[in-house]
Amino acid sequence: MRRDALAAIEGLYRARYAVFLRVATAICGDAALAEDVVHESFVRAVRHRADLRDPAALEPWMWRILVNEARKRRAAEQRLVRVAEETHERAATNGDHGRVRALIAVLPDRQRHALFLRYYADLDYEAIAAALGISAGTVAATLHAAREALRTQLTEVER
Amino acid sequence: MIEQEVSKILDAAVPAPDGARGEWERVIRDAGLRRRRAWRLGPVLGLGAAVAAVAAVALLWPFRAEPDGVLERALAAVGDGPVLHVVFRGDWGGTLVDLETGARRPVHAEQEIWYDAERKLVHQIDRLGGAVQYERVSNPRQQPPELAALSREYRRALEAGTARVVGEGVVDGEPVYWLVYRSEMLPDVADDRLHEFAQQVAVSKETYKPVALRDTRDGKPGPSTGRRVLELETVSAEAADFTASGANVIDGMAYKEGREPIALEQARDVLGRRPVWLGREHAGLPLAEVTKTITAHGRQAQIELHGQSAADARECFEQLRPNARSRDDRPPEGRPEVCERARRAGRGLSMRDGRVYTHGPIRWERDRTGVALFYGMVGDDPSTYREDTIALFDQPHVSVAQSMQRLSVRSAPPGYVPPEGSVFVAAGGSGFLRRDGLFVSIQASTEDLVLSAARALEPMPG
Repeated sequence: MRRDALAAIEGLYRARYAVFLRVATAICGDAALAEDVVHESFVRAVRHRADLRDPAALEPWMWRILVNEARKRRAAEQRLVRVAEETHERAATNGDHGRVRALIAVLPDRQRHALFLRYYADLDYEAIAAALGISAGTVAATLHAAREALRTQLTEVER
Repeated sequence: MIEQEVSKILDAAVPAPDGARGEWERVIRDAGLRRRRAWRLGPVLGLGAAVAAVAAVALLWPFRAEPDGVLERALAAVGDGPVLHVVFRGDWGGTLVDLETGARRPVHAEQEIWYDAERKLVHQIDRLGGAVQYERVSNPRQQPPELAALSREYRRALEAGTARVVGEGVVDGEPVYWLVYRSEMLPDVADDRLHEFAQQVAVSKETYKPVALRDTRDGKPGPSTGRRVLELETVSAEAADFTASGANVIDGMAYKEGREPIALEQARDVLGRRPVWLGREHAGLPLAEVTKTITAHGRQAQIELHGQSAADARECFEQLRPNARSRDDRPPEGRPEVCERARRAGRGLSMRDGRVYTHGPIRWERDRTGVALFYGMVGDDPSTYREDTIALFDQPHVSVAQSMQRLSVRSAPPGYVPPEGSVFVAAGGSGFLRRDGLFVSIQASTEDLVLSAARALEPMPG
C-alpha cells in the first residue's frame, strides 16, 4: 500500500507540478517561495503517505497540504499584504499587472484560495471543499462572493 | 461575462509556469525515504540483472510519465522462469599482440552465472577467450545479495512503477535507456553527508533487455562500477545448468610451488630440453638469477557426512544463517553444543543441495618443474635479518618462466593458450605465449618490456 501511494504521489507530482506551483505562487505572491511550498508539501505527503487511506482522495488531500503550507509561509512572509498596499496606491500608474494583483490581493483568504483552486487547478467543488476544509455548499458561496467582489472592484477602478 | 473577466484577471495575475517540472528526486531525498537496501557490484561474483516477466502489466496510475512505455516493455523483455542465467563481460581480459606486425586485438573475459533463488544454488563459470578458467557450483548460506536483489528488485520496481527512466545513451554502439530501479540515501565518509546511491540498468531501445549495469552517486556513475551484460534470460529449473564439469572446477583445488636457485648451465637438464632466453642481458637489465621452479596441483576430497554428524551440521548452519528466525519470528536461541559437535565431526564443513561435506585429504598430482630467468637487480631482503639475495621486483625487471606443462608456469591463464607468434598481455601487465613448444610467462615492470622480451626470446645456445 505504501509503495502504491508513493507511486501515486509521484505520478501526481510529475503530471501536475506546474499547476501546484501556479496555485502556490498565487497564494504566496512569490515564485521562489512557491517552489519551496510545493516541495515541502510533497515531502510532507511522502512522509505521511500512510495516512492516505483512499487513493481516489489523493489529489484533494495533496491540495489541502499545499494550501496549508502556502498559507503558513505567506503569513510568515506577509508579502502579499505589502504588495497589495503598494500596488493599490500605484494602481493608476503601474499598469494592468499591478492593478490586477491588487484586485486579488484585497480579497479574503478563503475567497482567493477558492478562486485559485477553481481557475488554476480546475478542481470541482468537492475537491475544493476537501482542500479548504469547508463544505461544498460553502465553496459555491465563496466563489460567488469572490466574483462579486472582483466585479465591484473592477467597476470602481474603471470610474 | 464576469466568469471571463475573472479568468482574465487570474491569468494575468499569475501566468502558467510552462515547463516547470520540479525535482522529484529531491522530494524523495528530503523525505528521507529509504527504499530497499542498496547493493554494490561484487569484485568476484558477478551481478545478474534478472527480470522475470509478468504476462500482463497494466499501468497502475494514469499519471505515469515514462516515455513510450519503456518500463512495461523492459518488464516483458525476458522470460518468467525461476532461474536466472546471465553472462557478463569480465574485467580480467587482455590483449593479444601479434609479435611480427604488432597488431592488437582484445581477448575478452566472461563470467556466466546460473542462479536459482529458490534452491539457493549458484553456478559460476569464468572464461577467457572462450576457454574455461574457473568453475564453481555453490550453495551459499547467505544468498549473494547482489544476485538476490537483482532477481527480485528490478522486476518489482518495474511492476510497481518505482523504476524510472533517467536518461539515454549508447553502450557498445547500441542505443539504450538508463533506468534507476533502486536508490538509497547513505552517508559518504568523504564529506559525512548523505548522498543518493543508486543502481541503474541500461536496456536496449530495440529489445528492452538489459545490456549494462552501473552504480551512481547523486546521478553520476561511479568509477569502475560499470558492467556489460552480454546475455540475460530466465529459464525453468529443468533448463538450467548446475553441473560443474572439467578440470577447472575451483572447489577443492590445491596448489603448491617451490623455488631453488640453480646455475644457468643446469637449466637445460632441469627443463628436459633447451630453454629459451633473452641472452646475458635485455634492455640494459643483466641476467641476475636462475631458479628451478617446482609446482604441483591437487584436489582436496569432499567427504559426505551422514547420520548425526550431518544433522548437527545442518542445525549449526541454520543457527549461523544471517537473519535466522524461529517460527515465532524471534532470533534463534542457539545451541552452541550442536556447532561444537559438528566441528568435531570434520574440518571445513560445507553444505550443498542439502548435503553436508567435510574436507578429506588432498590428492596431489606429480610435481612439475620449470625454469625461471630473472633480468634486473638482486639485493638484500629487508624483511629478514640475515644477509640474503633476492630478486628486486620493485625495480625495472623482466622475469621469464618456462615449462613444458602449462600449469607449471605461474600466471598462465588456465585453459587459454594464445596462438603461436602472438603474446597475450593480461590486464595486470604480464605476458603469456607459446614458443618452440614451451609455455612461457613473462612478468616485467612495463608492458613495453613484456613485448620486447616476447620478441627477443630465442633458444639458449648449447
